[in-house]
Amino acid sequence: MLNIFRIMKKTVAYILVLLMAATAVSAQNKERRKSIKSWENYEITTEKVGTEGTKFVKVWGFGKTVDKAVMAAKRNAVHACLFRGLPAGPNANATPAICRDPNTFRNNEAYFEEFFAPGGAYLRFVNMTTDGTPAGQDRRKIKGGYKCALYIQVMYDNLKRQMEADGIAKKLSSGF
Amino acid sequence: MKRTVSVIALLSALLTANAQEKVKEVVSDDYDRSGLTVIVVSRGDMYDENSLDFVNTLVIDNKFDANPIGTRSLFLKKDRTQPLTAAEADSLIRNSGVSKEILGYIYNRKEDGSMDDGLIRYRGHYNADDQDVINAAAAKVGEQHLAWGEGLVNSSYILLLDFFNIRRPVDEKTGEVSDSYILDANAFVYKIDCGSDKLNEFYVTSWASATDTPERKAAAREAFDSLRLDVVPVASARASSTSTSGLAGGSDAYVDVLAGLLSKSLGQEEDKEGQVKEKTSAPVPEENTVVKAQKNAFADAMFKLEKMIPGWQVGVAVISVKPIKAKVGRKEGLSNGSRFRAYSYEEDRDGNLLSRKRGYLRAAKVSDNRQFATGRTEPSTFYQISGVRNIEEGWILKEKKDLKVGVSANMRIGGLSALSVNATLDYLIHFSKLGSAYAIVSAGLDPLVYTQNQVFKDKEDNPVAISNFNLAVGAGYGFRAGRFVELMPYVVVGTDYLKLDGDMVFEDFTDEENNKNAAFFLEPGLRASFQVAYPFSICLKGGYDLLLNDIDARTHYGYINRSLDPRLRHRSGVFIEAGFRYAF
Repeated sequence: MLNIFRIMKKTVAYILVLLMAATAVSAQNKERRKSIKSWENYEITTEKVGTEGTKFVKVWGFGKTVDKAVMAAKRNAVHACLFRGLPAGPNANATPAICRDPNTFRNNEAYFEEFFAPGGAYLRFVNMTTDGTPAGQDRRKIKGGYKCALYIQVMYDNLKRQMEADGIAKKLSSGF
Repeated sequence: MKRTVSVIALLSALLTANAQEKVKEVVSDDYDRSGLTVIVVSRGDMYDENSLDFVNTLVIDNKFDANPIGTRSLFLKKDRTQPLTAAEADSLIRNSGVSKEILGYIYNRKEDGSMDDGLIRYRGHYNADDQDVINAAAAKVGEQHLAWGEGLVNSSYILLLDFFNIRRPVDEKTGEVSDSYILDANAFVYKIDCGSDKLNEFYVTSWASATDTPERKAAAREAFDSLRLDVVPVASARASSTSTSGLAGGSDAYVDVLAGLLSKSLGQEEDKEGQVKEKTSAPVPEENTVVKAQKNAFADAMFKLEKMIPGWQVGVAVISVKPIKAKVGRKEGLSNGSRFRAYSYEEDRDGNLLSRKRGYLRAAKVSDNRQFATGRTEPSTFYQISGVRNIEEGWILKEKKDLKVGVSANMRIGGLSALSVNATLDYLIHFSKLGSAYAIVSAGLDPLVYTQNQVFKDKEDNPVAISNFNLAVGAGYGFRAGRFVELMPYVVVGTDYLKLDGDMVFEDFTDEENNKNAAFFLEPGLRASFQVAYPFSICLKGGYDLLLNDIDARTHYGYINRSLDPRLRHRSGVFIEAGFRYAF
């Protein structure tokens, strides 16, 4: 009887350890998947000072295929210019977000859903400057798809003017 | 319980260690041109002059920017039978100041201490690829940014070559000294340790332009003289070589001979400024035999070093598939048949970057990109020769040099003899979409002939063994049927020897008859290679051996052949062969 009890105790211990490990791994994976899918989770760096009225950035995108990751990267570049701002690079200063009000996205959700829809208006403000498709370490297979980095020229001034014309962003002069 | 926890902890530690190991294995996707300076070691003996001739006439591969400085040799008094040790090489290089001399060359430093950035700008522009050009167009600084190759200073290498054990072989029987030379070489590679901090210090203290005042130039000169520029040992390799007065020898000699059978390749020369010019067809004067051996040893050492130094391995992205194309060409030293390995990148669950080895490829159509990139560089074409997965766009190709040689060992039934053991060496001459052209050398022997030792007897009635071997040269064309199968029709011509042991002759034969101990044969055939795991493949061969001589004639060969067991006589006939092949 005592032996059976010991064996059961051992078995339960094993199962518990395995369950804990599996839960930890699963939670980690879920977290990662969530962070990958999240709109806010992308990396962007300012490569150089862009030509007049443009920003030259390197931005990452995630997608099930390389093409989808490329589209996501383009969208992320515009998203960063609108809402996050661009970080300073070794040869360029930081750029503030066009929409400085943190509630802009929530207040204009319908507008931005259409703006960022596949083939949406955001594409008018990006030029992909990657030579061919993303390559080498800029094209990474991840669980469930690809993570790709693109060199992108964003028509920053044009984008800003569009947002101002559509009443999404306030003109600098509007405060006076 | 304790034990369980310990086991799990150990497993976790192992998995973590494994993951960390994988992180270390990530292959770089960067490639920048490297500068190279070759310096020889003088030992204070008769071969110093040869070594200087070697370094003065050396042509460096297109993929390197040559940094020819005034110092061509460094002196160390040591007997040439002994190799230079790594410690001696380190000490020689570090005490020589060649690293500063190279920096002076790169910045065109003049007697008065003034410098200019003409060469570094040229090299920066020449090194730039299409992505750099496109980036420059999108950036405010424009193409001016391209012409700034200061990053290339840190990829300046010094190759210290020490030739030792130089000797002429002596024939053991006749005591005659051969025309050829045999030598060994040790190659030590160092990299100039000139990161951005050091370079900034150099600009601030040691830089003076031509328009600066004499005082500024004098101050810069003084600062440059006291500048400390260290070197970092990178790799070393040992090479051996031979050469004769008539033909280049050593590791490349057989390659030259085989390649010469079917093709003539155009070489290039690179001048001092890294610009390339075609070789003229004018006859090249015969070189000193020692220098030839030194050049062969240098080529052998470079082959080994390029496999060891990642910075010297060309890396480029696949821009399209069907056919596979990549923007690399003659500027990077690419030639037809150059071998590359494909890598893809992925992230593990923890976000660690990993590089995965994929298949091997060879260059088929090589583009001449020896010009400044414009954003529309013509790519070279590659074809995959191994790997289960098809190469994809965006994967990285890394140069993996090989000898382009395959060696196979086979067992043959039929043909010249009832049974024979064969070895074949094939050298890749040309690689194309359709397949590969090979030069072939094959050798074989009939082991059953060696059992016929009771046929002939000497004067003392002792049995005399019979020996046999055959040697053939030829060519073939391997058609690729998919990536794992190659079908190669080929033809070789050769000689089949049948001799009595100890070079015994038949007394009633004339000298001429006795001298005819071989028969010529022609062998057309078909080889099918099935790749098991590159570079290993299984070969099946079939063909026909046609004896070209009259074997019934009164000759040494004919008489021995007729004396053999009828089943073992050498004759024309069909054969089949099976074996394996390994590519080097």
